[in-house]
Amino acid sequence: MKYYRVSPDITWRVEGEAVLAYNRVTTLVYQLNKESAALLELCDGSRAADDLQAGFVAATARGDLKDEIEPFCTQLTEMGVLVAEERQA
Amino acid sequence: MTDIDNVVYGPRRPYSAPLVANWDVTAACNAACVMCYSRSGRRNPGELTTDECIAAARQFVAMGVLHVAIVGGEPFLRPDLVPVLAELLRGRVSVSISTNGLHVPDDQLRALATMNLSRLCVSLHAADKVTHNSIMREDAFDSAVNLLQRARAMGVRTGITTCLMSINYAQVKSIIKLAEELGCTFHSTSLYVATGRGPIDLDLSVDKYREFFEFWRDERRRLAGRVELATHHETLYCLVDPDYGKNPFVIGCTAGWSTMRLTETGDVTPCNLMPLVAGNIRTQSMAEIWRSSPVMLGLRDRERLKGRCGRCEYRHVCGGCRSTALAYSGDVLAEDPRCWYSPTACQPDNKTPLEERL
Repeated sequence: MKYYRVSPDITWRVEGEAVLAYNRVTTLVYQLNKESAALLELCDGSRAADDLQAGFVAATARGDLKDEIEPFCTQLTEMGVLVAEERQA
Repeated sequence: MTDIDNVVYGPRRPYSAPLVANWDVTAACNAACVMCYSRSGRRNPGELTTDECIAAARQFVAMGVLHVAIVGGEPFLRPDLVPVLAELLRGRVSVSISTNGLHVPDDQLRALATMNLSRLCVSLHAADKVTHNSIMREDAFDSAVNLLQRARAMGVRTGITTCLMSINYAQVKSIIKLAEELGCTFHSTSLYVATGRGPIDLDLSVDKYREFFEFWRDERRRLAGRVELATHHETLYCLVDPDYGKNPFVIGCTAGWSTMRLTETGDVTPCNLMPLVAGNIRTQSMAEIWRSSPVMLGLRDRERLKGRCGRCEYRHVCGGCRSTALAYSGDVLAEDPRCWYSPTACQPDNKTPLEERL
C-alpha cells in the first residue's frame, strides 16, 4: 500500500485561488488548484489513498472529487511534489 | 519579434507575499569585488542581531515566502549563520547561500550537508584564475573551485553565480561549461547594474545584451534537466522567447512583485540592486511593508512606466529592469536603457540612452 507525504524538497503556499509549490532542487514552481492545499495538508506520510480520500472529503466537502484523489497523488508523485512510500497497512 | 499581435501579454496580479527574498545578512566581506552592489567590506555596526535575524526568519516563514537566498557581504562571516538557516528550514522555506568561497571551513560545510539546502552558490565570474581574481580583488579562484568540489563530495547541491560584465562577457560559455564539469546543478547569471561601487563602464552594450539572451535561451534548452540556468533578470527574455511571456506566472521585473530584499540593517527594498527603502523591520512588520509601502505599490503599476517601457506591449511580462532604470536615470519608472526593442507604438531609436552614455 502506498503512503504519501509532501516531498522534503517542496515548499508550498496558498496564493489566491491557487497553490504554489516550489521545488528547491529543480527551482520549478507548480501551480495547483486550491483544493490541493487540503490534500497537501493530509500528505504527512501516515495516510494511504483511502484515508486521503476520506480526509479530503471531510476537509473540503468535495465528494465529487473523491475518485480523482488517487490518480492525482500519482501525478503529484511523478512531478516530485509528493513522495510515495510502499509499506504494509 | 513578430506575431505579437496574436498573443495576450496582459496585466498580471501581484503576489500576496514574495516568492523569493534576498537577504544580505552582513556587509562584512573578505573580498572587494569591483562590481559589488552593496559596497561590502566592513561589518555594519547596525546589523541585525542574532535574535533579530531569528525573528526575521520567522516573518519569512509566516508570510509564506517560498525561497530565501542568503547573500551578503560574505554570509559565512556571520558566526550565527547556521542557527538562522535552521530557523528558515524548520519553517520549510527553501534556502540557498551565495558565497565567494574564500573561507568556508569543513565543519560549517558538514552542518550544511545535513540541512537539505536548495544549493550552495559560489561566485565564479571567470573560468580562468587571472580574470576571476582581478574581479574579486582577492586570490579567490582556487578556493572557489575547491569549495565546489568539497561541497559536492559532502552531498551539498552546488551552483555557480556569475555577474555578467564587459570584462568577462567573452567567458560566459566557458563558465557554464565549468559548472557542468564541476557537477553543479545550477548556474545563475546576474546582469550587471551600475549600483553600489560598480562603475558604469562595466556594463555591456545593448547589442551584447541581445546576443547574450539569444545564447542563453539556447544554452538553457541544451542543459535542461542537467544544469538549471537562471537569471534574476526576467526582463528582456520574452523578446527572445515569445512563448515565455504567455506563462501567467511571468511578470518580468520581479522587484516588489515577487521579490524583495532584506538588508543587514533590516531595511526592506524591492530588489538587491535597488537602494530604494520601502521600510525597516525594526519598526514595521515585513508583511506590512510588502502590502502597503508606497515604494512596493508604485512598482506594481506598470501603467506608470515611462519611455519605451511605458509604451511597450510587453510591459506586463517584462516591464524593463527597474533597478537599471534607477541606476541610469535616477527614475525607477524610466525606460530600461538596455532594451533593444522598439515597441509598436514607438518610433525606432537609432541609439538608446545606454549607448549614448557609453
